[in-house]
Amino acid sequence: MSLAGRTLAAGGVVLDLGGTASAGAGALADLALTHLAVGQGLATKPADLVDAAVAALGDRPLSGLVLHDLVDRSTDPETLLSLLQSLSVSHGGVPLILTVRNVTHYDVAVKALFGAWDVTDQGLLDAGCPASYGIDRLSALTASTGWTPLSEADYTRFASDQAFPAAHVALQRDTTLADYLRPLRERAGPGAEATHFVRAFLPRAGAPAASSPGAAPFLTVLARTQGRRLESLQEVLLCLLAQTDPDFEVLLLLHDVTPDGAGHIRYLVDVMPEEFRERVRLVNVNGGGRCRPLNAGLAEARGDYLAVLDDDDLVFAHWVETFHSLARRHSGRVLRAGVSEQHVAEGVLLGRAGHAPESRTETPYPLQFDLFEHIHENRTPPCGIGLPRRAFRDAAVSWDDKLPVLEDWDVLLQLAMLCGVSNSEEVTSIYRRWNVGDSSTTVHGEDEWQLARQAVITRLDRHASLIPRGGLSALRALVEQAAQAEAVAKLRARQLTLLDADLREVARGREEQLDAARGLHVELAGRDTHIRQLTAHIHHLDAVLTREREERSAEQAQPVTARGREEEFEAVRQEFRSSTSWKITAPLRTVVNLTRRR
Amino acid sequence: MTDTTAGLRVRVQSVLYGNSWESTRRFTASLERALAESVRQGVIGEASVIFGDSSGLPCLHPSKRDEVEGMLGTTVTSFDYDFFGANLGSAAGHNRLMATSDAELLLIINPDTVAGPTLLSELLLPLSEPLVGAVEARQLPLEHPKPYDHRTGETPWVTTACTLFRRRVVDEVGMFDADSFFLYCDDVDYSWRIRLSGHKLVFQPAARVFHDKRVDGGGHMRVGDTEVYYSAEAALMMMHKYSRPDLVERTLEGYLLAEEDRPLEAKAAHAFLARRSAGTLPAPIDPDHTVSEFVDGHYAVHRF
Repeated sequence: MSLAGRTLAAGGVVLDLGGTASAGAGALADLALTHLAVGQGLATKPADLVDAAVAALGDRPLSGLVLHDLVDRSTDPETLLSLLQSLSVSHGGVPLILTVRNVTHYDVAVKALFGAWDVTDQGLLDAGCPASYGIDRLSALTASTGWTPLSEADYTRFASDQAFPAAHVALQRDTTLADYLRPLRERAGPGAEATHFVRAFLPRAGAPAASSPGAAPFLTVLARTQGRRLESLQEVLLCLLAQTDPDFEVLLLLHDVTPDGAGHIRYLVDVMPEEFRERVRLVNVNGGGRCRPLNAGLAEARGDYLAVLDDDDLVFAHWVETFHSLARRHSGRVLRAGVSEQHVAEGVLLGRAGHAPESRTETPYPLQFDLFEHIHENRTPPCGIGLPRRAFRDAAVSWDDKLPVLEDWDVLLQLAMLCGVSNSEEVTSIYRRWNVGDSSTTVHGEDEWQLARQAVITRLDRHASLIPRGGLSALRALVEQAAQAEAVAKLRARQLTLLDADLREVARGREEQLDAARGLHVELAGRDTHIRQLTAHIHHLDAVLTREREERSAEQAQPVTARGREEEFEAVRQEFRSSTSWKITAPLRTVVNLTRRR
Repeated sequence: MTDTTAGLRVRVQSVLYGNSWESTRRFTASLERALAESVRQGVIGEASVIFGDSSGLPCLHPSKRDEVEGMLGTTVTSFDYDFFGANLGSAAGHNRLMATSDAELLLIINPDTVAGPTLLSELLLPLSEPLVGAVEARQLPLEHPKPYDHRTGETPWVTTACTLFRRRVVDEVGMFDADSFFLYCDDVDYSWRIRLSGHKLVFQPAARVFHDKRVDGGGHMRVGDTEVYYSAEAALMMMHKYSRPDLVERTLEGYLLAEEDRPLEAKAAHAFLARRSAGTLPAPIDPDHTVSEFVDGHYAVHRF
């Protein structure tokens, strides 16, 4: 009804083919429309049904046509829709609203994956419906019978009548498998939760657009340029001209290029050999970020695979050939070949702006693809990757223009986890790093890079992901390595703690020894002083004794007093010589005497 | 005073050796465009092309020769094909082709290349200076690391992978030394002889040619056994011819000592010694080392 209200002009009749008289009559009346049911319950040929409808309509104005659950019950929907298209055109091009059961609802699709096809009396897998429709088939049918889409109001239910058995691992809401499959189905296209497509159409004027002629090439090269590096763009085109495998087309994506610049680029293509020129298309892209030209190229591409080349990448002669060989071996996978790197600097060469390599080619990127390594960080420049174009559609993948950098990593991870990777160790391209001038590493700060990394991983982590064959072993090995590294780190920490304690102990001991040494030093200094004092006293006594002897000689006449004095003095002298101080200083006196003799 | 090339004739010569038809077709188509563009710009008068063929059997079937001629069309005044019937090597092969024309400009180019559309018009620019004897193109994707002056383009030697020569300089200097060089270094020798005659050599980075070379997993250019042998043989010859007997002896000793690990170099050493015994080595030149330079196995100080 909402669709009727949006698309049907008021005041006329709505022919409801196959409907009942009561169905929707009241609601249509509210829209100033007259409901007229025709052919309900009749097993009629389309021509008879349409004739009956015309007869029932008579002279009244026609506002619209309704086919409710009739397309999938009809054995000849093409004729039915073609006749209705003519009827619509004869009444000024009135809209057609149809409802069709959708057998690509998640519930049906996932059960079919498990081998179940549960036909019921009514519902999505109605036993009475000879035909089954998804959006592709419906679109093809309406397009081929002269209808063009106008509006839609699909009827959706998370759990359809096919949501049984309730405990089915893929039907339950919270299992890992459902977390992986349901978003996959949702991204693949409309109808994941639509039980019925409810669509309005208008009759199309003229024949439908013809599809693109010619066989699709193996590869579409998306070469984006802002027209600032025409010198290196020439080199990119020359490398493509030299490819050993010519099964590719080139989309030159001119992103915000000035008219002058576009003219120069046009010239670069026009001077190429004809058979190469014919495979090159120029696509103008305006506004947006780095991803807009890539998504524009995706929409225009015809190749089975896509490869992105920036206007400063170089490729060897076997770049396309290597990708092609990988695709033949592993159809549908992401293709990966080796990439070398070379440092280049801009400069003035022979009076003109140009560039020159400053290093030889090196190979810093791993020659083998490892998914977990790439989850940690991107280890493959875009020129080393070929992407299956169909997978973009099937998984609703596109380059995210909200990412200022790492848009290639984002797409690579999404598709690598879905499709797997076919790898060649053959080095087929040169990723050039500019030493002077702008590149994404110089234009964007580390914060932007970090935020972009986080955004990519966060998006991937919103739902369950696939681990490729051998991935569990690789993951287990990584966890084991991490556990071992942690154990080693703990052991080292313990050892460091013990070592630290030992060092502190040694330091303490050293302090104590230093203190003891200081104490001894003080004591020795004190004893030195004492020894000097004693030595001085001894010299004094010796002088006194010598004087006394001399005086005694002079006092021969007074023997009693002198003898008495000498006896008294000798007694003092003996007492002194038997003292401890005299004994301790014996070695010192020896030294002093020896010194005097010299 | 400057020279003009307008109105001059260009002779393009290339020596095939087992090249596939697809490769030859790509080369021819690109060559036609480069010649057509320079004619359109009026920087040359007319062009002619000759392919020599050193293969055991002709690379080009008569129908393919017709196809090449058809591809070159009216862009060239003539297309010739000369099947040598023997592998003459690079020097002798080019000598034989050089003798077939007196065009004022001579473009020597490898058949495993693809010419950029502006190749010839860019090569012609430095020839406005009369002293310039030859102009070399930039090879992609692997540019040669030999040095050149960023202001003047002057370079110590040019490679015949793609170089445009002034014919009067060729006449003055003479042919390639095919007696001394079979493959490799015939161009280095020729370059130094041009310099000894007082002319300059220029590297023109804006003149682009794609040369199908590839790298290994370490990023080093892949080199086959033929290149290893003939480069070693040529290296000894260069050292001898350019008056470096010290280097000759040192290199011979090195090659012979490492015979087990490097048999090809050792074979080249034996071949040199045999020629020395037979007295068939060329007379040494450049005794004062005016132009010759030997640095770490190269003939100039490499940029990287």
